[in-house]
Amino acid sequence: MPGARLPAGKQWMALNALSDLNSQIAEHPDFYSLLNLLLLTLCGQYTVANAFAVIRNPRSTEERPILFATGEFENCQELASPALLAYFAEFFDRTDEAFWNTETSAEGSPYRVKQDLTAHEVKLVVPIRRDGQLMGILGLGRRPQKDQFSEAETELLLLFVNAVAPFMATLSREHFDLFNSVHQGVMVFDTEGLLKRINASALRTIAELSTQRKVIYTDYGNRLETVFSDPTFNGWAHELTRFDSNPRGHMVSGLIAKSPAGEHVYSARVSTINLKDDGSCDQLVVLEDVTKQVQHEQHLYELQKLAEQGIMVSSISHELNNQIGLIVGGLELIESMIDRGMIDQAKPKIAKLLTHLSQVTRYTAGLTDQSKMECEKGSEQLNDVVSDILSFVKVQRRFKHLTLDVNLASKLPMLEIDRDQISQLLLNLLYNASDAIEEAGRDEGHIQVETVLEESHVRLSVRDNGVGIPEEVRAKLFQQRLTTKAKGHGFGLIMCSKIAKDHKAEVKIESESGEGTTFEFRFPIDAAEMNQTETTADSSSPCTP
Amino acid sequence: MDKTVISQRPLSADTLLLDPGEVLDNSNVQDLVKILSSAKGEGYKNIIIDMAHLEFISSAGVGAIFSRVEPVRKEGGDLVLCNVSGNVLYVLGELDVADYLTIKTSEEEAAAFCGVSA
Repeated sequence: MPGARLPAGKQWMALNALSDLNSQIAEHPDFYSLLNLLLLTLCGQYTVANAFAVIRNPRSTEERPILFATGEFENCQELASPALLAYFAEFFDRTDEAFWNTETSAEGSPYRVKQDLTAHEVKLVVPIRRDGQLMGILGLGRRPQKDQFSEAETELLLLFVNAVAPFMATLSREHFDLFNSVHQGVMVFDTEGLLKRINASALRTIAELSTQRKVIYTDYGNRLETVFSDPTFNGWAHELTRFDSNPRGHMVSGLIAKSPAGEHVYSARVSTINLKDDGSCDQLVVLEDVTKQVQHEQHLYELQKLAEQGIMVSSISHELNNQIGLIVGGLELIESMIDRGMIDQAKPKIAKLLTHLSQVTRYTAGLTDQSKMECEKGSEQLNDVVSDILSFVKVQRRFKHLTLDVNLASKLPMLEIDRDQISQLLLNLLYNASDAIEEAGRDEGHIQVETVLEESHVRLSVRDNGVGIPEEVRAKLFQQRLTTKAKGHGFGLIMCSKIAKDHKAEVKIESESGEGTTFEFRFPIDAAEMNQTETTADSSSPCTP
Repeated sequence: MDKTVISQRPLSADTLLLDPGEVLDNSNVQDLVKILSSAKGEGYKNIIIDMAHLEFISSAGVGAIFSRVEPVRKEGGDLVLCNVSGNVLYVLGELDVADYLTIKTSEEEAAAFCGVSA
């Protein structure tokens, strides 16, 4: 081994260090770790305070190399400056041995150390080669105890470098590939806000968007404000720098780039990396083009608006169908009465029909004024409302083969309710009940309507012996537009839910699949109202939302 | 206890004590670099590395320590080793750094050197 002239202990340490590096490569093949460990190992092995490595981009000689540094070199802004990186790039272009060997530095290094580097106390540089290609430069800094590097030490250094170079080549290719393959634009700005690294995606993005500009400022050393200069990136620099970053980073949304091709929307995550001794950090900016996402969101929003309009149309149809159903039922009843010569009895029914028609008019008028669609409460007798609806419903064909059991409490207090809404609620429940019975295919369908006075509530319940509601469906009732009927639209129960909410009514559903369902609504009784029921029967008040 | 875990304990407002465990090599040397880097930001002027449990130190371990000595001394502090075993002393001697580093026999002596009162 060339280092035979070194002390045996030092040779042993060198072999051990090489073995350590090989283990590291085998167990944790990471480009950054490998470079950092190599530099730390050389600091220990050569007792130098600082070391650096400049690695060229294996894919392109035109792209700028990366600087890795340890010790004080890590904080040496000049060493990472664009000028010095360009200087390193000049080394890469020189593959002839003569360039490397003819100029010997004052410290006896067999390799050329230019004056620029000696100013930074770089004492020894060696090429990192792989298959005859120069892939990087490794430099060692000052030795606090002695400045000279012996020939044996230089040879040992080359041994180190040559042993690691093949792995470094593979890992650096992977590293650059990884850095450049991510679709997000990645940029690193140093503590001074100067561009230090940029990946292919960011270069492409800025170049594409900056077609209005004569010069694209993506060279290393450009300030963040210059890279994202107006007018293309109006306000970006301010947005990207106005918050203190931390390693977890923060999101900056809605960055708009105006290019001749159109507007693009970006979001950026800004975070800190490479904590320095003095507490300062580099800034990592990860840019993502979210233009399509924003367009999709806008499209989705418009679709939702359309859907809401569609829901509204269906809701209107549903309400009108109910009212028309009542009117048809009423007309059928009146027709039957006239057929039987019951003209006097038919007259009040006609009056009620007119009331329903006025409700329809009120509803359709309310469509043009949302506020009028809200409920209007008045002091009402629930039993009257129920009886009214039942008188129209029971003559309808869909209820003719069903038994309607009606048990109304003998004495109920007046309730503060919206008569139209409660009519609508009951109508929905009755129609649902008849549908459920039809679906169950019952020969004898029963619907029971009941009002009961409880301690502080009046309970209205509708029970049927229809198909029942499965438990999993029951849990979703009232929560969303839901129907289990083949021809249903699912609005009835939403409306019931809204009416119950408007009246602060408790809702209870009991159902057994195949056996039937009971809907119960408990309307609260105001104690004062109970005492005044007779005198306030005509009062009316707007519904509290 | 994981033999590669580096523990840290402040001895005073400006002195931090580190225990690198049983081994200081590629497996944990980058952790040491991070701790040493952040120690300055946290206001620690002196660093004491207690090597009482340390059985092996690699070139990288020596490099991590060695590369921090000058910056710490420039700030008026020091990086002090204590309880250094024969094995570790041998490595430091072979790499010609033993004379350059401040080495104390015990934690108390190192603390006193750093001006930490008992």
